[in-house]
Amino acid sequence: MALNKMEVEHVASLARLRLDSETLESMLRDLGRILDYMDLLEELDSSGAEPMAHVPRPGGSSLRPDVAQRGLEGGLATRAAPDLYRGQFRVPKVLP
Amino acid sequence: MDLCDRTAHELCELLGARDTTCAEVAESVLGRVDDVEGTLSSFITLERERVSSAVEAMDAGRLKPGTRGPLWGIPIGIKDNICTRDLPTTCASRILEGYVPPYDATAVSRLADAGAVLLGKCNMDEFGMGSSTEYSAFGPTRNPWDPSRVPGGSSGGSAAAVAAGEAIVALGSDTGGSVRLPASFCGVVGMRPSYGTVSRFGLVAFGSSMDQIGVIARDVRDCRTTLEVIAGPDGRDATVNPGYGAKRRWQGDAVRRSSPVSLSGRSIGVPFGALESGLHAEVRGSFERALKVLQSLGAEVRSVDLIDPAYAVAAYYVIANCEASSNMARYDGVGYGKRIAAESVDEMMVRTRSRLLGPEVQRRIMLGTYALSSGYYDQYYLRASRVRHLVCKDLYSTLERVDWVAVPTAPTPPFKIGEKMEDPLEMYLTDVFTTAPALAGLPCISLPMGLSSERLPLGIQMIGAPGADWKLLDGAEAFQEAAGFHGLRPPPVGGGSQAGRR
Repeated sequence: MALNKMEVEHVASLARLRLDSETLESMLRDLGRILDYMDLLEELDSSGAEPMAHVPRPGGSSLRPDVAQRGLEGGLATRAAPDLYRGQFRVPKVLP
Repeated sequence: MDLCDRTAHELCELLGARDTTCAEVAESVLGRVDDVEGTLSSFITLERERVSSAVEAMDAGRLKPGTRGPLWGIPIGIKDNICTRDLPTTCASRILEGYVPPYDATAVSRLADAGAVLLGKCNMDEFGMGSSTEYSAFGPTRNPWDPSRVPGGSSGGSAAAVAAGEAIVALGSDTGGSVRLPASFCGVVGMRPSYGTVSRFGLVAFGSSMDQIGVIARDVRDCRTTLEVIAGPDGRDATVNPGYGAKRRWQGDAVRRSSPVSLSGRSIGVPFGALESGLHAEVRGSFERALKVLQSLGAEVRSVDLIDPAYAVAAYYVIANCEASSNMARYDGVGYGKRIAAESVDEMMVRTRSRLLGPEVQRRIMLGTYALSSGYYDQYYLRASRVRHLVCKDLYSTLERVDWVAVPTAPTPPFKIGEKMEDPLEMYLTDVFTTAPALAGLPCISLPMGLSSERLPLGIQMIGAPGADWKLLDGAEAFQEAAGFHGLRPPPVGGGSQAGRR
């Protein structure tokens, strides 16, 4: 699976990453090699197998009773925010 | 022998008989940290005063009655992707530098309830993404057996600390081998429980369908005691299977004494076909001797056919990276962690992520984003999920016919620092024997099986049926007692202290 620079840049923008020109080169090379290895998956006939997103759960999910509980006390959950204004997350302008 | 070189169960006996104190044990461990940490860098955070005041309170009996649990006074290291209230949890990443979680992970609070002394936070590959602990933003951990070599990863700090006497037991996490591989490289025991045995509440997510908290210890008995403490439902992780861990959950004061087990009537499946190529000669020799040990205990060794592990590695790295790319979306400079300021919100996120996430994390986000993107989803993610199903079925049905499957934990002895840094694919292939059971959610354990001619540790991995964690520990303990490699300690490491450098 050959990747080109434009594809890599597109994927980077989807992932909110920016690669400088040197990183772009090495990313292109590394992703190419790794994806080549992953093409191995084509060799195995898996057409009859259902896709498996998680391991089988013989006992089902272990959900707790739907009873209200106290969460983190005020301010604790937000205290690590890089920019907090009156208890709210503050970010740069979203709309131009 | 120094106190810090003893096992938890030996220390429990000494403490119970009042032959030593929690403070003496902690002092011995901190003394070892002083001696070796400058060389090894096993810890990211270690707060001495906190440890000292905790053990002082324990010795003075200033704690509420009934808190003298099965790990009373045992200094424990915690991998730095497991949340600790009031202690930084960085995941070895710049983006979480200085981040202090508002709560303890369930596994951590259970250790504390059992009387364990939380020493500090262990070094790791950034967000668990790596097999050598070289991808830590705070510098690599070194292998106590040979500091020019890697300790394995991603829980390399946890394994190196336990091997070197900087901790008696440690928690790690294992998505595709991150507990077992470093345990193998450092000559200690490392167990990945079944998916569903231990609550992941407070474990920073990487590959959610595979992430498990695991235990690294000096012997199987310590591993068992620690697992008993942390296993079982807690209502905060719906993937915990109530049938897996709860039965043996620690209920009281008594330390369970486990007795040696014969393996007569037991069978061990070995995929000899998969071991034909790519295995280091010394690993092969040592593995063959380990199989003889299992046979000498009465176990029958049977050849089994399993899907070539190369397919499991490929499927694993597609699935794990897809899940990682999604999980890593939360590091956007808004809710927590660091931010690099910019004029627009989009530019702020791009700068924050590009500058503060390390190269391997970015590579994996890229791979996962690509494999999930429109046009490639079927080719990569969907196909990998189908292969995962085949790998899982293959192991499940094999484990209906044999009690355990055994393979070497790693294809080679620990490699040199820097050796695989330029070749991410080579690094991935270190996990060739550890990914298949992770895809299937099976319990598996790495045990020391000897030393190479260069005196580097080698490990055997035993894999059990789903939910059969305690039976796996029984088998592992029988092997350990007969093989006798769990008593080996690395040669003294020089160094000087940089502990608490952060």
